[in-house]
Amino acid sequence: MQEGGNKPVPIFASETPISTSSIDVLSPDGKVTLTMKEKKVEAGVVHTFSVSNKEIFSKTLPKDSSLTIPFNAFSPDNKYIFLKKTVLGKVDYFVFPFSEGTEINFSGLFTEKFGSELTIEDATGWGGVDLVVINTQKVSGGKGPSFWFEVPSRSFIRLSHAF
Amino acid sequence: MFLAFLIFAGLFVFNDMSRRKCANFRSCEESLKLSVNNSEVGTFSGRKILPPSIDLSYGTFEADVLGEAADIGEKHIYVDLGTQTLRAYEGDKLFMETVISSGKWGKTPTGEFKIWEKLRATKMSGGSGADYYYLPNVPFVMFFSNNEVAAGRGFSLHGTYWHNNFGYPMSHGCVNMRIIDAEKLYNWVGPVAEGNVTLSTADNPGTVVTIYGQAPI
Repeated sequence: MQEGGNKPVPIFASETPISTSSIDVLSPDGKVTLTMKEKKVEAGVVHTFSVSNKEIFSKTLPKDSSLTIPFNAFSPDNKYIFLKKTVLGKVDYFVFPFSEGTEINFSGLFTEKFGSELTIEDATGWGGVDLVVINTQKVSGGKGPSFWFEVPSRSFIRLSHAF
Repeated sequence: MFLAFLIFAGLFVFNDMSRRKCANFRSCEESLKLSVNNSEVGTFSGRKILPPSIDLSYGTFEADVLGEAADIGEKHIYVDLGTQTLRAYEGDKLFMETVISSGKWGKTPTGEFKIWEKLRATKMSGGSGADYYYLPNVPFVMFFSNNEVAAGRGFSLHGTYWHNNFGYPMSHGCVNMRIIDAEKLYNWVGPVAEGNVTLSTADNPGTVVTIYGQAPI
């Protein structure tokens, strides 16, 4: 629905005909362009991300998987992006800090801390410069609380109101 | 003595309530004026954030000549709180469609409004405790009002640099937009900009804004 190719764009590794493709996503302030290129290889699909033509990160996913750029992927200050990865039906969200070069899988961190009680329903965007908004479901059923994932400290902040 | 206390307490409560009727109660009147503070730092969600630098020589004034679009149809903005989307039409022609963030900590009013003022930028502040916010250089501000929601209450559509959670309620009553969307709408909507501050007039009317639906909880 959004102009500029900014709506969530699932890239399915199982789709066949295209050997290479490229998608540009503009930050909300229009200052930064994130480019995701995909290239099919024997092992699956290589996803390469660039910011302003500088490669920042590359990831190879197996077939029958997808990598999605959410609509609200950019942090407000354009220092981070978060992405959604689905492999064999398992969804993981991770943050990529442009300055560090290593991804932070906050789905994994969340499961370590709250896995017996809660699961991540979705990550919707950024509630502040370094705060990813997370909605959850209770393992026992029903809606769980919302959280911030605070990127610098790799910690979760439980919120009193739902997002 | 007790009566005096009651009167004092009543005045305090009344004053506080009247202030809170504003979308941004700490900066209610100030928000209605052009304000540029390129050296200041903003605060939101307990975080410091650098606002966008505002260039007042920005050339936004090449928009439609008055009356030029009359044969295409009236401009009209629709904001659906239920789906958190904004659509702008010129007659039957869709000009833009995007997701927004409406009120979470304060309610976005519903009804039919008109844009009464456009500001290149202003300052907004309010909240308290963990909810405190101080936001200089809020860009591309389009204030709307009607007979029931007075202009002085400061409800507007505007660009947003402090969060990126569009499609979900995140504001104190205003309609938050991505800066690239707000800029596009600002340059299209009436009144046609005549500088960095533009008030609607009979000759340069404000576009109608219809806000409807109920925001998700």
